[in-house]
Amino acid sequence: MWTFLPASVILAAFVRRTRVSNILLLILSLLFYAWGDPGHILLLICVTAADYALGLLLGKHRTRGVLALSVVFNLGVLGVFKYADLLLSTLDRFVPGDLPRTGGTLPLGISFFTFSALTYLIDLYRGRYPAEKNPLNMALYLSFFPRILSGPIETYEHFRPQMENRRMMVDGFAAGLRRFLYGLGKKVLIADLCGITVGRIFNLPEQSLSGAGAWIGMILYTLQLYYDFSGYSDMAVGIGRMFGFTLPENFDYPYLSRTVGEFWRRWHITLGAWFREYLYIPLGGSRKGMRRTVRNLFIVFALTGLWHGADWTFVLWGLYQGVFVVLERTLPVGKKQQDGKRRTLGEALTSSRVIGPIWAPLLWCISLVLFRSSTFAEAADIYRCMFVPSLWRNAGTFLPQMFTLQTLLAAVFGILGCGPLAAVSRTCRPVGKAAARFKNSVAEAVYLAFVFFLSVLVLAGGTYQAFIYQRF
Amino acid sequence: MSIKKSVKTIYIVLFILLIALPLPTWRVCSALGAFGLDAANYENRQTAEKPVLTRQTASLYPTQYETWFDENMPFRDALLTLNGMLEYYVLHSTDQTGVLVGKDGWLYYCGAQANDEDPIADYKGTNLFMEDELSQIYQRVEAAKKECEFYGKRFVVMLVPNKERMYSEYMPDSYGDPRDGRLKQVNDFLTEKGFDVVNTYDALTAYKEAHPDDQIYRKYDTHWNWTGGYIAARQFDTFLQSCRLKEPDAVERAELPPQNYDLARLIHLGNVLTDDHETMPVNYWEETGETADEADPASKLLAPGVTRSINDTFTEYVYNNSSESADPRHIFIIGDSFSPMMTDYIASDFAGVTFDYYYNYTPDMLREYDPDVVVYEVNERYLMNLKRFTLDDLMPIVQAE
Repeated sequence: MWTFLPASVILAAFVRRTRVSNILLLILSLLFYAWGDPGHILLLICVTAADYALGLLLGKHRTRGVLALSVVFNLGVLGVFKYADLLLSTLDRFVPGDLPRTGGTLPLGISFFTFSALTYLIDLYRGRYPAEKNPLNMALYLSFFPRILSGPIETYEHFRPQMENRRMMVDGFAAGLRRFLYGLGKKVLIADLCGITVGRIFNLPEQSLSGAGAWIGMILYTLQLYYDFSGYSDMAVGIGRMFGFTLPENFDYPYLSRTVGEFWRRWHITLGAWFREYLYIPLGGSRKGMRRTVRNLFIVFALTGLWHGADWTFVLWGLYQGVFVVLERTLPVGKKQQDGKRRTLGEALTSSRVIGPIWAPLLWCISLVLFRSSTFAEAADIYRCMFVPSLWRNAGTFLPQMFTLQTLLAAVFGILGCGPLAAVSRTCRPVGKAAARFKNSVAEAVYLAFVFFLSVLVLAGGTYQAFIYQRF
Repeated sequence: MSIKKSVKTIYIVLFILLIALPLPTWRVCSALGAFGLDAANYENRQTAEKPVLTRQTASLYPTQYETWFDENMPFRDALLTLNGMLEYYVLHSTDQTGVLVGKDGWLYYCGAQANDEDPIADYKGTNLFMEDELSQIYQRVEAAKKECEFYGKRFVVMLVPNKERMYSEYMPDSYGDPRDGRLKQVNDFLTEKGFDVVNTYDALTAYKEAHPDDQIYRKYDTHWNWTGGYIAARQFDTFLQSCRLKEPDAVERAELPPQNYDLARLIHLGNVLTDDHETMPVNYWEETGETADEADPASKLLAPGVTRSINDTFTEYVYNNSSESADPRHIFIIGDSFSPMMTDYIASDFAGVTFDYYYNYTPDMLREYDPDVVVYEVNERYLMNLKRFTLDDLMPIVQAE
């Protein structure tokens, strides 16, 4: 933040020509990646080169065979580096002896740049644009540093015009910095502080974890995950904007969703869009009858789960989402309407004032037990604590000790900021007007300076590891 | 919606001031020694050295550099102090694991950095020793006692309570009242088995109840203060039937300058939290015709005839008392950081006192000093050490991973 970012901005600011700016950004992006994952920079370069070549081939021979080759290559790379050990450990349970493991580390951002590459190749096959002839543009698209590690997943169709025609403007820079500062605050002041208590609660010995502790831990984890990921996305979008790029939005107050289906249109929007565009629709989407629709939904959500992590807990987590999406689409509830049909669960939830607002966030919170746990047994233990009242131990003395006032404040602001404030500003005119006046005002800039300062204090505090005894 | 020019300007200025300038400003200030920037190491550990980029270290260089940068970030000390002050004074808490902020700003230790310590479990009485552990303790203490007896020495175990137990009234309400824990368990167990035990909790509690305004543990530190040490010394000397130390009420007190306290340092406020008023009992020996030189304050610290030498690493204190009225026995104390605030006072009653930190002690020292009484002093949170205590070998600190 104090070295790479200002150096990049200052260098880019002095470059007027777009082509030179692209080369500069590419160099910076490769340096950024090499710094974060020096062991796999060569992988990134090779994958980029291969996708560039595949793109040229696809441009000349727009056939299913070449497309299949492109998809298999990219998914193969992802499979080898991310899923091989999962496959081997699963097979281990069924075959005699011990299968070896690859033992490798997961390349940073591999899920993201693989999906970006597939976006380019599939849309190229669909004829949306000609093949990219400039390898440096291709490389910049895949490695652009603000988004390579955790997205948002950008389509080539959206990114390409910006590579050719953009300028670093003061307007965009200011807007980008504003967004970056919000993202930093979300990550450091809410996500990380909630994370401290989450860690404390779930590091308690099993017999010390109470039902209340498990629920509070999961609610805090729900906040932590949202603010961590959306904060990062804000920083990515903000930095992109500082350099003249407009990156897609990735979150739209998902905790205001009324159904799980709606949730997945507001949470990690670019991933949901990717799966919809490149998997769900090609499978037939919802156009081939309810059975196929249900099948397609389960496939998409199982793979969504698997994309998030190389473990069967993630697959189950994905299927859990799928179950509720399917139920919302198919389960009839309530009385018959005037047309003789009953509303679906999803339709009922959308109009429900009581259950609607809590349905999706609650189900999401419960599902995160699977997301967070490294084994099914661990998840089962937490679910037992949460749902079996006879196991609710008195942990009154433990819970307050898990919290610091910082975490409480982070949780309060986190809950207010994850949707309620936005909802109020949309429905209550005076609040909405005040929010509109605050946006892009001097007061907001001062507020963000304060947020930055607090974030730096917390970050500095995190580097302090004092020992009561000498450790030399 | 376009941003107003004034707001755009503010963001540009913010970028320059908050993101672009800190590092070069820090480099310049450090080079010029401006603003008295503090770069001292308060963390009690080896900090990272700036890595050198070579072919061999290339893959590790980024991680090592970031570690080094984190520990040398621009204005780090000022930021840490500000963060500490914000947490302590405004939020009355801290995110530093290992420290608890209690009522009235009292600091407590809740860490687990070494020797399987868990002061909060001690406080709550949730970590009592199991039968087999008590059996191990018995074997160790019995072995030490027998070895001492073989050489005509007496073996004593001295127990020192945690601050959490002594000053529980300042602990956060959510922790409740202290429960009987290992301290009582070990005291009762060893006493029942016939060992010599001095449990300083008794004397300290009695004094505190009689003198509620006279603080005997430090507010920002894990240890007792000099008054607490004095009370413990009197209890010990009385146990050995050789106490000529004055009653605490009759003792002169010398003002001490602000100290640097271990818990304050853990939250990076070692240079800020210095207001804990502390006095040191001086001129504490009973009148024997030998008096301190009123013109020399230093002469009030050690009794007449007592000399003290401390080794370079402050891990060994040796006292000799040439006073004719001193008890002729030599005391050898193997202990922890509570002992040094006791030994000055004990030395006034005995011909010789030697103190070694338990991790510095070697059997050679017993042979060298040939004491009459061997004492193992142990703080409540280190009682686990009794399971591995021995007079025959080194007993290093067991660091938590």
